[in-house]
Amino acid sequence: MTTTPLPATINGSTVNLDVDPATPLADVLRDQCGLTATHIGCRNGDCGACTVLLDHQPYKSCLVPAGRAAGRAIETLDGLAEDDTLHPVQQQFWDHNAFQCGFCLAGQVLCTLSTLRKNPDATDDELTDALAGNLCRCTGYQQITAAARAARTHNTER
Amino acid sequence: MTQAFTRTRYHAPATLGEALALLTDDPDVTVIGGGTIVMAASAGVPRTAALLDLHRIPGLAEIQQGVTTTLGATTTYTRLLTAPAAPPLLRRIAGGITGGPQIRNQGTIGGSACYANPASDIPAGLVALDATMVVDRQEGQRRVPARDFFAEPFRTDLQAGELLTAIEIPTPPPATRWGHAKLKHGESSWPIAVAVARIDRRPDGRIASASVTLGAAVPTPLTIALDLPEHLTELDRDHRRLIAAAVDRAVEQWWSDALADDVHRRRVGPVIAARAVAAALPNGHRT
Amino acid sequence: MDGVRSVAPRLDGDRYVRGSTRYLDDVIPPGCLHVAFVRSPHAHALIGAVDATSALAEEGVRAVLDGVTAQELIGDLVCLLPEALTGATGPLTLPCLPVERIRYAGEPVAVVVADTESVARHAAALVEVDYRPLPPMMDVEAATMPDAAPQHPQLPGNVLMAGVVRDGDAGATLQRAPHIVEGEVRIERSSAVPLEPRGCIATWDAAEHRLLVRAATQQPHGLRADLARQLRLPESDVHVIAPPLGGAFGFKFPGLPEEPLTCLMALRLRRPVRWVETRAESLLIGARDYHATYQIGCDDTGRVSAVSVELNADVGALCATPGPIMPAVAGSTFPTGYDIADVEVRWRAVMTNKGPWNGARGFGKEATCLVMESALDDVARRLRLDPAEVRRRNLLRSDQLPHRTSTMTLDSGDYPRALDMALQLADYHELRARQRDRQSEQVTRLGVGVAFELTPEGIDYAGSLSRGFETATVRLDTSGHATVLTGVTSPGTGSETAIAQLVAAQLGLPVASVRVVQGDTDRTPYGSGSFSSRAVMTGGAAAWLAAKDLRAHLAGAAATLLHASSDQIDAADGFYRVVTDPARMIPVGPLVNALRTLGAALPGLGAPHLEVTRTYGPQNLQSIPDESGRLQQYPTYSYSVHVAAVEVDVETGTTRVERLAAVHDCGTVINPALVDAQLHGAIAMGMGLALFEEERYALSGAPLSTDFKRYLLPRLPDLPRLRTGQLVSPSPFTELGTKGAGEGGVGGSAAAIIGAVRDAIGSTNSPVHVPLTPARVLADLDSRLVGATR
Repeated sequence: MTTTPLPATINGSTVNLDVDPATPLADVLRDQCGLTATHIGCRNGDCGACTVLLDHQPYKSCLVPAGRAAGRAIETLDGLAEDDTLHPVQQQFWDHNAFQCGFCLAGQVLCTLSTLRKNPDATDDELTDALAGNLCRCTGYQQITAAARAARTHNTER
Repeated sequence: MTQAFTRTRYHAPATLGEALALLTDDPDVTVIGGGTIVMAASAGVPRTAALLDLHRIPGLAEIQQGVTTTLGATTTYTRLLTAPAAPPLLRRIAGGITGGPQIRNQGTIGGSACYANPASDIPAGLVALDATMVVDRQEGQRRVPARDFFAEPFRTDLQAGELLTAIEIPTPPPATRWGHAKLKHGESSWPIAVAVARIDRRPDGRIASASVTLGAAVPTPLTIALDLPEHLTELDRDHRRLIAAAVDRAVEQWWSDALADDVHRRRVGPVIAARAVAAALPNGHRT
Repeated sequence: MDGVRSVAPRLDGDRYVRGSTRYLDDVIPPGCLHVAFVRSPHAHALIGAVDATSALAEEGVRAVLDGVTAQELIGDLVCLLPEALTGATGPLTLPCLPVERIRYAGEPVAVVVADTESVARHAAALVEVDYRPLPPMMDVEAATMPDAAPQHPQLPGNVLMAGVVRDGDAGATLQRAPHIVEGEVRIERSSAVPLEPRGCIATWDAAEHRLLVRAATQQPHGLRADLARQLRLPESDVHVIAPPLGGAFGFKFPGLPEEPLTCLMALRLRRPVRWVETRAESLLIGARDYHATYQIGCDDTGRVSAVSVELNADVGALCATPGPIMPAVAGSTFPTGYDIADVEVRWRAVMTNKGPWNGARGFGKEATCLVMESALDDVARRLRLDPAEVRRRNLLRSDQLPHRTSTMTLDSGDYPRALDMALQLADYHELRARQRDRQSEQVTRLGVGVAFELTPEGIDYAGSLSRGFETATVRLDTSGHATVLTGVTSPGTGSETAIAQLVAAQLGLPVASVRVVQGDTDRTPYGSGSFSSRAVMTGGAAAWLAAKDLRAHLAGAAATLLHASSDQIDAADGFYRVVTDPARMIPVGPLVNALRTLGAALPGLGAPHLEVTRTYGPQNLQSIPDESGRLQQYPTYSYSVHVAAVEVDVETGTTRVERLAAVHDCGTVINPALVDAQLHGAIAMGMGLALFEEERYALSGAPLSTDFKRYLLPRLPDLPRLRTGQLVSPSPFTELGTKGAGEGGVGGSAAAIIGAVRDAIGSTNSPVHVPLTPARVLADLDSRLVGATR
């Protein structure tokens, strides 16, 4: 297996990984970096459980060749909280009971977060659109929507 | 090969020249603009032996506006949504892509075009816009009208050693109006029928010409000329029936896939075409 | 119970939102090997030789095992289906890997172990199998032809089970009925589809001589028992851990071959071995595939007198999960909550060459709901009555409960009131008014549907490992915390939060002071895991009773230490106090410490035990047939009423769901937020069932729905904001009055949506075909355009 160096920032820390650049970024994050909050649900770009942010934008990391991430700032769900303090979006998800099994959280939280960073006054429709790529089999999306709207109201990213 | 199993190889050339050389040297290579199609692997195994990733090549993701708007082949759907120079029709099409912002950030207009999946959004849009596909090879560059580029389902006019590098969209006359309609089965579904209507008007407002380009319901995008009354401002039920009938007559073969067979697409394709035409009219349609 | 009910935040919620919850595939032991299965491309075939030479030659491949070798090394899977229903003599067994015959496309034929998953999958493609294809039998008709090839030696006609559910004399009553309507419901194959697929990681601990298994399973103890038997290990030498699951919904019962085979390879290779299925592999499994025809008889007022149903289920290839029992449950749930004395249901479960079944939310009861609601809608149409009124005229009233049928004793509830509440929540009259005002020229038609769902819960499936009983241990420590060890698991519902609430309330602790340990066969008492909405009802009740005993013990000790009498002691917020003089109090931690150090020594202090184990099972069960053959496996009866409004585009056949309302009664509620959330998820699943989900097959028997672009699930933009309400009718038969929440809502919402679509398009007596895809909607419309031109 030929590997190449992958310099990047992951959750704020500079890293220089050795990766097989054709491997999906999801596998590199999970297997090499131990960042398992990015889950594999379909390997087909359908479910969104593997969502990460690259330079603040959401991608389904099962579809991103690891080589593509060179020089990018990668954010994963497991890097969002600062030690003891949850990120406000995470707190809203907990407060609003916006998850059940939790498997889809990376996509739901990171898409909410990245939308509100770009567009703090996102409309309800824009929030719905932001989450359309994320499948959830547990919640019927109701409390996820409530949490996203509450995150908009209490947005500290403005 | 001595070892039957090889991991997927990955090339990310920095220049177009390198990319074209690699394309010739490594015939197993699959080109990716975004990668959303090629990297999909629900069966757990990579579908290709080697990847040629274009994302590092400067200029391939740019949009240049002039008499013609030139879209780099690796322009993402998100860029089509946010760039002021993006043609409005393509902006609208990009907004309806299934898969959420994640897919829009990664998927590219060139990738979609080169995949030539009948059940997709972009090809019909490009044909309706009279786009010209700019194709590069080591020996030089050629241009292909979009309507000739989509040769068959999942096959384009690209030959071995060629790359799609840009798409040129002529700026339509100011009086041209577009309508777009799309049908899918719920949010998770890929397109069942896509239609782009184009109406050109004379300075006095009379319709000069009209057409509708059908996609997703047919194996390759098909533009159908329509004979609309000159002063038409909205569609009533009879108009819609006539348009639907004209579309039905013009299509030799309807597309069939896992979500909808040809019988169903024949039924709904003309309906969507008529709705696209209605959307291109000032008063839309009434029942 | 009032003091318990609260919207306590999810236990461990912090870990979930941080993403630090470790699911099955998040913890991989060092040096782990990986499994991939060679899977048959043919739906039906005989197997000749299996040649692994090329596969074994690949670098990194450690082993390949086929059926011939495996049969010496591992015991068969055993299907625990009642002989009274199968008619088989002796247990129905299946080898883990087939030796003679392939029964479905995707069936594992050989197991490959390699250093990485990708090498294993590649090597699996290199294994050469001599298949001799046979004609595939892809439906009940084909499988039950006289010359159909038998799929199991003990079941020559391919009928796995058959039964009749009978109350009164439906035949005679139908003959006398002023009106009889006949109908048909076809439910295409679908499945539970949790977001996390199945997987298993097995490690042989040579030093301890024990097998450690982490598995995405709903039943760790059940899996342990199966593995011990199949691998010929003492049960106590098998340790199964069920980590937090990414959803289950019945998909993760044991009884398929991959888990035992993965464990076998770990034993043989003395290395940890991992298997995780792909999405395509997960979609091989089904859970619904029914065809029903029925007759319903009623009078001029729409009062139903009899229902007769013929129900055929295509259960695919036989397997050892509880999945194949679901048609029996479907049959037993008729006539749901309606007051119909004469009922006959003849049901069959037939084996075909589709993939096997595991469980799914609803467990057959959603099929019953779809059939009953279709029949009631037929009555409404025949008599030109409002479908809601037909329900009102036929639902059992609360004074008629408990109501006993040949298979159920409906415990408590107010079905008509739930109906009224649901109609009000949905603004039903506004919807009907809007419908009347709608111009017939419009391209979209508004339709409204109403459905009642009966959800029997808490199954005690005696003869299997899925029992209605549960054991819990509650233990206290000197930091004032309680630990609950429970045999129930949580597939992600958060039921451990409700269990913690119960124990906290009993012991007088803050909820945050209670830890719940589940999913570990070494640490928890024996249990049946999670299914049938039982976690709080049985697991919670067992914990409640154990905590109650402990509380009495603590109160006695506190009384001694505080010089009061036991009945003067109150417990709250982590303190035990004298009610009349609250300044006299002792925190739980020191109270526990006092018992530990001075128990039985200091007079009046009681024994130094701080741990109680209690087993609980509800009443209202007849777990084995009585003298007259009556069997009642469900103790509790949750229910819900659903109203749906849809807009159907009659030119394209597409449906947009505009409004969904539901009122749900699951008895006593411990945590309303968790219960509401379950209903939301069930309603979304019902929408999927009604409109989108279908596992399709090619004529060749190859599965076509291999990913989520083809097996369509509802997304956020598909759903309207759900309007939900609750009624509380405690069960008189359970300790807490709970009935079970979790399953309820799938069938009811599906039936309401289907009813609404058919209302929109003016269906008359066309078959109900689920999912109601646009093509089927158009076909229904077309069938009534006799003579009209388009």
